[in-house]
Amino acid sequence: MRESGLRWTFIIGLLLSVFLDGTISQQFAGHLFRSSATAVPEITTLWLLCASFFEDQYHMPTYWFAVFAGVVFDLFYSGYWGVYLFIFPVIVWLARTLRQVLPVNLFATLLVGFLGFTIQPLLSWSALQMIGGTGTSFADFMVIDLAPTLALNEVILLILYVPLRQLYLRGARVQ
Amino acid sequence: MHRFFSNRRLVIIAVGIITCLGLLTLSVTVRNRRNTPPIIQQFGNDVAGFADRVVSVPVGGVGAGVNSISQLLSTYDENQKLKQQVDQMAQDKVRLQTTENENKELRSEAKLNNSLIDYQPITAGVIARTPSAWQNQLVIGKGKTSGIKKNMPVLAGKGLIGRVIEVNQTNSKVELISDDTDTANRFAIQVTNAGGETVNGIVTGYDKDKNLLEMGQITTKVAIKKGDKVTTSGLGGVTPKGLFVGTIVSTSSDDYGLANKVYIKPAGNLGTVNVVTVAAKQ
Repeated sequence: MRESGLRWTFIIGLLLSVFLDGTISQQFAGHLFRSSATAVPEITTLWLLCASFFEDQYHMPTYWFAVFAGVVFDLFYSGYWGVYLFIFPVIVWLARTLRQVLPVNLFATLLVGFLGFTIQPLLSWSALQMIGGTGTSFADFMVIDLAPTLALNEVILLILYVPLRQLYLRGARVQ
Repeated sequence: MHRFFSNRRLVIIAVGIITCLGLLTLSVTVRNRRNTPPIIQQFGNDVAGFADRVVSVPVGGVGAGVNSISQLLSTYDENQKLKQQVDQMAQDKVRLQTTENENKELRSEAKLNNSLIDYQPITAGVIARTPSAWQNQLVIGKGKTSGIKKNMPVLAGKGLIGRVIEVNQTNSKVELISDDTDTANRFAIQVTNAGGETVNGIVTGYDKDKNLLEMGQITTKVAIKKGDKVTTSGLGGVTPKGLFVGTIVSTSSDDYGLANKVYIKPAGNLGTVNVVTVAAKQ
């Protein structure tokens, strides 16, 4: 019964992060979306990565929640079906697979974050490139978009590591 | 690791990829059609729009704080400049009023009720921006119920910033003019030079590095130079005439002497946009 506490925290956190991504992008567009460097907040990816990487035993249908977050992203933000719907479950799978081989500490988490924050834009860029939904070239993508995005999200992850880790440790203890 | 390649996993991954590709294809087809998205997509977006407002209001407060601090630093210089402009503004306003009245009288005399210039402004708040570096889209808080239709032009700051690409009941998506994609619709624009001659063309692209719009498809020898004003031409579609697009920064000629590419500095604010105006043609 107790595990439902962590479950609700996860769901509310996921919803918050989905909408925070869009709202932060909008409010700080002048600072984040410059033509020379574009840093995109990936709070949802961060939340899914941490939830999957910190989880000790799999009590939650995280994949389904990832699909749900993907649907909201596709419909509300992107307008194309099937992009984030695919990416977010891949993120969960990535974190869970790495959990088998890596210890859970700050550096491992930053490494998982590095991979996740790279794969998310890489896959969405590839999907949009395929259907002609973007004019950004691969070189521009790497230099202008990917590098600043990674930097921004790694910093956010660094700040949130301790509180999120504590949350999941406490959740595991209660169980 | 070998468990990963077990049959069940493979099947799930294959089905997942195929489903997503199918959905992607479907959404491209739907998007290119002129009508609005499917009912289920509209419903989902309306619900998401309401939920988004719960988050965007407090973040908006924080954002406004940060922005006002950064603006505070340049306030003095700006104030000096603005004072000079205000005096000029009063003169322009009176002249504009006189001209507008005269224009109205002349039009009624010539029995021109609706011209290409007329439009009904619909003001809407921006509730979110697509968190993606290659999809420059805004979600605005008004939709079909407020009279917004697909392809209407959207203005913010001094000029044009984009067009409506998807309309739901209570919110809509706006594709910014900086979105340089194959699927983007191009604006018909015109340049009026000092001599009063006009050159027609369309927005053909966006230079991301320099933050400039490109104007192509020009087939005239009329001389245009740096500083000339660019507006929408009102030709072919829902965009009214005379919406300010930007000013010319540079032109380049091809081997035959025609100005084949013109670079325009956009007048609209493409950064942090909180309120936009949708221009609904009457």
